Amino acid sequence: MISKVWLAISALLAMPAFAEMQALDDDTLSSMNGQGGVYLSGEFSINKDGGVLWSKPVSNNPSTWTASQRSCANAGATTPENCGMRVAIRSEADGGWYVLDNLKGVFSFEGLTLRTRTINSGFNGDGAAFNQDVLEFGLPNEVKFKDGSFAFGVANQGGWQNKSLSVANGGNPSYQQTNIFSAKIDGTIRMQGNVLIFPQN
Amino acid sequence: MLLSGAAQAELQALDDQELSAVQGAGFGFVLDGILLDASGATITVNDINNASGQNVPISVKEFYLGATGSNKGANLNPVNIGRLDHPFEITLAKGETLRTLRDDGQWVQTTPSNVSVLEFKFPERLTGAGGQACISGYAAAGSNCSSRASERVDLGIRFDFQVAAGRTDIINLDFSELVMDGSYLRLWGDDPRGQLVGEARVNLFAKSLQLMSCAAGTANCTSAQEQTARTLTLSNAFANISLGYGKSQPLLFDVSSNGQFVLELPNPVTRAANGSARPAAERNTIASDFYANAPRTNIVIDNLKAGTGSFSTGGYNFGYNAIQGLSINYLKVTSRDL
Repeated sequence: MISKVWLAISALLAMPAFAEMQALDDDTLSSMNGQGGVYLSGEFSINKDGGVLWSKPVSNNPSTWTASQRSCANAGATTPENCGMRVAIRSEADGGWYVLDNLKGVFSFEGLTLRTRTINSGFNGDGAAFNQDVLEFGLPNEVKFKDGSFAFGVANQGGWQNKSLSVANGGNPSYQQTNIFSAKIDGTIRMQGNVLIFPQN
Repeated sequence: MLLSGAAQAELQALDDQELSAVQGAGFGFVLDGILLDASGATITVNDINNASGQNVPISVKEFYLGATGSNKGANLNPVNIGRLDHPFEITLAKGETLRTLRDDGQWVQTTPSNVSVLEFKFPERLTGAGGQACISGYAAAGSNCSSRASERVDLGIRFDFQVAAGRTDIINLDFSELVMDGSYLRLWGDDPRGQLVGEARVNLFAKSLQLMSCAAGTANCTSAQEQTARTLTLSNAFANISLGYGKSQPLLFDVSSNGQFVLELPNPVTRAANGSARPAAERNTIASDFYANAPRTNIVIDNLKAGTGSFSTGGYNFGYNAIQGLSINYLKVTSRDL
């Protein structure tokens, strides 16, 4: 009985020796090709319920908001809406700002891939001469958007200010923002194919 | 063994010759087997208002991109866009190394020297061997495109303007065999002006562009005859739109300090970038260079027809229409709040 137990233990001890990592010799190493790659699926959600800068007011009328409130519903809409992310860029030293505003929504994808690929054939005859490695982004076949939105506009200040409120109440009557257009996206967009990226001299 | 393996992978110093061959930090990309179809999504564009300040929502429908022969998006197949040896590129280059194809086939420098330019460009145009017809079967569009027939796309989009309750106006665009070789956007910082400036070229070559004013399948827009009657057809159409000539007339992208959008092509001769007046001799030199080398805008439609093109069935054939060699001396576009 005892000897059987010892046998089992000694077998266990001996086992790791079989699984020991072995250094690969150069020949074996050189025959390895990159098999790596990443398959991504998931969901990306940005300011779906509004950002931290402003809370949602009760009404869509800017003159009724407090200093920390802002609604991003279209002008004249009856119900207020949360605001998404805002990015402002100034391209002139003393100029105004380009604004990407109210960026929010849910973006989900299944099967975005990232890997390297050697191209040495195909591409209607271009592949053989190219003979190079590329980085391949495989687009998911379907991208789903839920309540995606953004607005593109121009403004005289980088940060948003409520022009309907006086300075004393946390607003700025001289603030000017003109939205050139805004867009909302909902539903599924079919996107298939690969984007191949490579260095270029 | 491990040590000897590492020795083989040792980093080697590049010699001067090898180093001098390396230039331009950039990358290229091509789109392999691309297909885009947004017919399953609801896309709405807002904030475009009518005269009384009310939002006119625009629904984007039938948005697709695929291989040629798609029959207006009905039969979508994947397509390769860009070639491995003539890809799309994003590069940071010196102004003196960039070139633009002039209408007479010469490559000229249009960007100022001694500036770093960020360039986004479409597949390059090819002069000499290897050039492909930009529009198949239409020699007047030139044969200096790098994309081959299989690398052209069919692209379409429909806009539904909800003008008022119960009224929707429609524009349905369908490009067939579209290619945009030689288009680019170049951006750099202009020191005396203290702002971002650039130059842009948009080249569009299409075998046909159809604009239909109704949604396919709706009342009076179902049979081929009904659809043709509501379509404006541009065949063998191309446009080379040139905005800016970096050396003396950069395109100024700007937002004014009171928050309005400004797009400006300044007068190339009268004032220097810092606003000072120029002497006559300098103005003459700049003017001669501008007229000789600044890229021109061309819009050519080999055949434009409304409906069937035949008067007897309510259509009209406008034939060949072209604007060629247009040079913009001064342009300023500003937005205003209504």
